[in-house]
Amino acid sequence: MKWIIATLLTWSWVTMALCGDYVVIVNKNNPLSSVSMTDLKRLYTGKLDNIDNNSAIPVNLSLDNPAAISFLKEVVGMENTDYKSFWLAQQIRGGSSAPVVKKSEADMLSFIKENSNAVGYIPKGTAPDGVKVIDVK
Amino acid sequence: MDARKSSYSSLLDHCLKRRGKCMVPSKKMIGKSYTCILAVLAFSLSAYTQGDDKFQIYGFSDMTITKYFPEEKSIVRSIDKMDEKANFSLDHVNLYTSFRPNKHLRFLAELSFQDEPVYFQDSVGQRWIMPAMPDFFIPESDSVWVTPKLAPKNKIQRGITIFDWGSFSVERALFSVYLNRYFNFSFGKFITPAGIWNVDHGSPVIMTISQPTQYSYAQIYPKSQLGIMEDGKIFIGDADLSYSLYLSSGRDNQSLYRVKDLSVGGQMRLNLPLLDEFTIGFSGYTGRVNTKLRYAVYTIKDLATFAFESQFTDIDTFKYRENVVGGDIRLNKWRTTLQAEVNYQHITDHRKSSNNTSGTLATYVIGSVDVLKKEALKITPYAYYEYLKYGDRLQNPLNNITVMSDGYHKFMGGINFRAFTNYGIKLEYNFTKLLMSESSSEEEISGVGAQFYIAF
Repeated sequence: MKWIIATLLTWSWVTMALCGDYVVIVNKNNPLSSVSMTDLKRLYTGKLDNIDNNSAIPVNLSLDNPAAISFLKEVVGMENTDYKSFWLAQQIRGGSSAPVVKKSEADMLSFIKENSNAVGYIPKGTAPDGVKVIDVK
Repeated sequence: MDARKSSYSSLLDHCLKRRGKCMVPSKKMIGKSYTCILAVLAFSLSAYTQGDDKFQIYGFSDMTITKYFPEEKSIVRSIDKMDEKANFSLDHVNLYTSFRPNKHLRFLAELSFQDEPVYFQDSVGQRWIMPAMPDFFIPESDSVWVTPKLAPKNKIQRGITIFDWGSFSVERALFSVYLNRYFNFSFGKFITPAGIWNVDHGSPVIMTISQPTQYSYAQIYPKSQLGIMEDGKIFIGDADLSYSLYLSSGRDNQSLYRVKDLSVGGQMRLNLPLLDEFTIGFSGYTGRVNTKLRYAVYTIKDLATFAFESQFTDIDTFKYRENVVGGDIRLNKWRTTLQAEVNYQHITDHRKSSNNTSGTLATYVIGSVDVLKKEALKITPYAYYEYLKYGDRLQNPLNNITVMSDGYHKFMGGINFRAFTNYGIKLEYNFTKLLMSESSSEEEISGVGAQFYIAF
């Protein structure tokens, strides 16, 4: 019975963490274990700079990366072209700057490992070595 | 005339040397402005090339060609260049410099070169050029020498000629202190947070070739102001409420000198988790405008020695209070965007004992559809309608040459081609029907335009 419950819990965790074609990751020392979809959207649209009072720095993969396309569509609710236009408008409006962009998963992982406050995502199949996958609620 | 020009040049020199901020679009001043901008650019670029991403430089530019077809006897032919074959203009080169040493501090400056009539761009109270030195002499029986001159406290001795094409301006320059998402304090010159397309003023983010006329020409709100502002965000469930409040010098954005005329205003925008975008906003502003002409009356006491006495008299050219309220909405779903704004300006003229009042109603609605949306190309046709009506033009203190009609209906249709987000071309047809007073017939003007824009 315990084995079944453990399997179900693990499966549900994996399902939530691995939604879409990406997983959301943070530095392994980051106290975050989960993040709401709304907070994640606010973080990636410059409306929020912390999650649960923990400073958060959003990082994007190159916007033509399939994981980025999937992440932006599901979390931010925009196609990547709209996301670019959104940040262009933000800049002309005088608002904040667009999140840092990393060209590859390796660059993303490296950045997350070096920055305890960074929040990023990688393709579902990438081995999240040295970082922590968090739950998206 | 030569003596007047000479005196005027002296004044400019005085302004440039003593105050160092006199905004006069003379060739001399433009040269200095170029120098200043190049200096800022060089400084910023040097910092940028050192790899310090705390500095950012970016901007946008656009070029427009227009052709209008006014009727043969149309009064709009009196507007400079309206009846020429076609006009090509470099409308904007806007350069942003942002410096953010840390998360809590930021300096943002936006410098703009506009090859448009300054007359169209400046707000009321800054349109007039008056010679600063005596320009006419009346050798009447009492030997009275009358000199019209702008009162120095107006801070508008900038010598802006009514139809001077091309000017530099500081669109905004402000320091911000960010405490948290609820409190972000800014001070300096800021673009008035009103409606949607007053702040979103750049051609890459405006669907049409130019801003709504109610912002660019009628300036139902001050385009920008000098003062302090507080803005922030509140999250209500999945909805986002952003707000801004400001205390400013209003339309007299050159100085905070006249503290009794401080203006206040604010904006609130609610972004609801509906459709792909559902945003509604409310804006408000109240302020006083008081510009003066100062007359110096010299009475010659002794013609032999040319001894005279002087006396100064101030006359209000504008003295009114305005209250402006407005609302806006923006919806997006299925690649279709609908955006509308409505604003109402109520003016009480204090030059007359009866305190006459008048109002101006302005609204627009625009619909657009992304018929093609690819990384390399986005094609968006749009249709636009704008209406502006001066309630009682004769009671409007702004009833001068800027108000040629009782208002207008404006229709526009066009296609916005955007490539790789940052480049684009707009092709547009526009039709304007001026609402003339009862004694005149209605006038219709049509035109076509094309604009190339780039964000860099």
